[in-house]
Amino acid sequence: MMERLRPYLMLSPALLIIILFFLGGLGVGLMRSLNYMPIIGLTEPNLDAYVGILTDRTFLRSLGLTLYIAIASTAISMTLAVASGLLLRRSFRGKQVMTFLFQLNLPIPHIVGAIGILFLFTQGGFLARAAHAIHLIEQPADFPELVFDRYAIGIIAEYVWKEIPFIGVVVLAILQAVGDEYEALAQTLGANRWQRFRHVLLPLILPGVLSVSVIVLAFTLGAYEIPFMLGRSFPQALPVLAVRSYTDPDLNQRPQAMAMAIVITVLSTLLILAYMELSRRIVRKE
Amino acid sequence: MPRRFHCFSILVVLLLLLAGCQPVSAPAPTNAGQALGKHVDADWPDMSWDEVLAEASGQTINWYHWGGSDQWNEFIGVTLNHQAQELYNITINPVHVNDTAEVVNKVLGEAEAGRNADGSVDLIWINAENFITLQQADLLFGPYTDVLPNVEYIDTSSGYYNYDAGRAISGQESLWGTSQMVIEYDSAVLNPPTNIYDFFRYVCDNPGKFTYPAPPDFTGTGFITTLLYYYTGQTDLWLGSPADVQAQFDELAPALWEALNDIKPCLWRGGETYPNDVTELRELVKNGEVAFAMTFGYGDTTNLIADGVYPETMRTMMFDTGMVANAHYVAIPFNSPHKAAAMVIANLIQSPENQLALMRDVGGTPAVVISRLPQEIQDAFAALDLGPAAYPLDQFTPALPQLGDMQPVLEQGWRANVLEK
Repeated sequence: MMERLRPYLMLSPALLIIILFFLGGLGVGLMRSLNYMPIIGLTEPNLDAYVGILTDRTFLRSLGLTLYIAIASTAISMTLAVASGLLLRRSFRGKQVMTFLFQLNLPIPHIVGAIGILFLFTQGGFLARAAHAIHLIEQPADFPELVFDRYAIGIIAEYVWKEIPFIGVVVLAILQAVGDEYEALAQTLGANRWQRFRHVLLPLILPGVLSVSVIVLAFTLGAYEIPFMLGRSFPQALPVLAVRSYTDPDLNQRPQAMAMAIVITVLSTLLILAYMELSRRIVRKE
Repeated sequence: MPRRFHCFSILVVLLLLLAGCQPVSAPAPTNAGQALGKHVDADWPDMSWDEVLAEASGQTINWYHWGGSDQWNEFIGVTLNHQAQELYNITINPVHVNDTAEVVNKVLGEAEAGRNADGSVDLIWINAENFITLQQADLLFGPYTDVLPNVEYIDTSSGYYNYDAGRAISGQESLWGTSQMVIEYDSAVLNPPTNIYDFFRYVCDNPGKFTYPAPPDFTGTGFITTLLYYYTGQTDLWLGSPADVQAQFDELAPALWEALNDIKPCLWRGGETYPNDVTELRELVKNGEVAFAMTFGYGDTTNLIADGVYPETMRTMMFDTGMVANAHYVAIPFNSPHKAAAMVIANLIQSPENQLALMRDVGGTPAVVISRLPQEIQDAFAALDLGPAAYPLDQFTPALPQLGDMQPVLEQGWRANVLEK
């Protein structure tokens, strides 16, 4: 009896925290989003908050922007990380230095990256001044809009900068485990470079790359600080919009803020499920 | 036995933690005043100021205040504390908080727990929504502001004295200082006019050099509130509640939205995006992207020049029709056990010397009318060297009130009608 209970008992501290803070918080959030708050006399749950946000142009534009940022950042980081991984796998002079540089920003926090982007890419930033100094542009303000811009270039650049080494570490680890025998074998069978990548290497690294990309996707969907620091006032990324509604002095905004948080949660869950299903199919097919 | 004692003491500690106990630093209440008969809790308001002073002597007050500024902390904890001890035998125990809302919640919590007599907070540095919350819950002592002897230096007919964020003060918080918004600009490249209409034409002659923080940022909201009064031609009307003035607002506010949309193409980034707050706006000034900023901090500009952040040529201006202003106050919770000493300190910070020190030492602006002060203090005010960037005290334009309940309506209106257009 005791033996059977033992794993549960040993897991209980971690489980307690997950149940209490994560599921508990989620449950309370869900209730509030349904306009259910007995303390202030709201006892009839309804979907008003969801109807409200889903018919609101501001919310829909934020939703679109958030999806765009998350998917673009993940796709670009993934592609570049795989490419860099393949390059760094070969042996060449200075490989160790390059690998070190490649992974250098892993421990650097996102906020610091965002400040770096601000220093470099704003119209009064380092690059604008440099371009002005060498007479590429007439005045610093002519520098293209790369931060606070329509296409969220600054935000995506920050995510790509930070996530390439993150995915890259996984790619390098897999490549190391795979070794080069498979490729050598394929080469003796007459496969050219592209064929060797497409039919040998890619299927081997894809499951790992996809699962680490899911983490990146989920993170970029729900992250607050980078779009807050580098994004436009309108439309704002969903997490920024949700925080703004939540801190609004108008208490009637709270259910809508909670509904937004629930939508973000559902969205990331769905995307992760879809991603996993997709990767399973790809892997099976290969 | 020792073992059981251990369990017991751990239990006690846990209970104390759960109860969110009184800070250890809070000294025990002293009752020196009781011997002399009159006591604020029993006899107020039938007490002379001398009787208040008598009760206050020997008391220690817990003064809860925002602790984010070294200059203010030193002013309260050292300068004022020293005076209080020398002059009135009162000790100030400063309690720093990150956000005054924490103190509000503390007093609310004590009231809910039925702690009606022996509260832990004696004085709060406060204004606007925190004051409104405590007053709505009926948790403030007063009226007491007209009893303070230094009230003679204050204009009791002013908006500052009577209203805070549109709400009647009713003598429940006493003035300490004021702050009126100023616009900062680089005089090396700009010479902006002070009339709002001309100012915006000037902004359009210098496109991309001006922007304002996006409401609901505090300063951004202050800026568009200033413009609301100008473009609607109404000041007092908007101090009411949305229920009463929504119809007039819907009718008159489009003039404001139109003006703000008209200047949009002339703003930084074509008005498509705005800085989140003053810090970000100043970052743009520092980078040379824009040439204007704005602030409620009177001494900020001078300090930033001294720190080398701003160019020497940075100056400040006010619109000739006035700028939004606010004041900051101190209030005494209903359950303070040291109301007499708290009142004495509320009076002390309004003294001519301390109003001068407020400006000289911490870069605030005074709550008193300078022409009512003793001549030597007036001379000292005139002799203060605040640097060329400080807006001259004798040229202040009308102090316009901050909105109360209408503020969220204005902020949401700006998003819908200006930002998202």
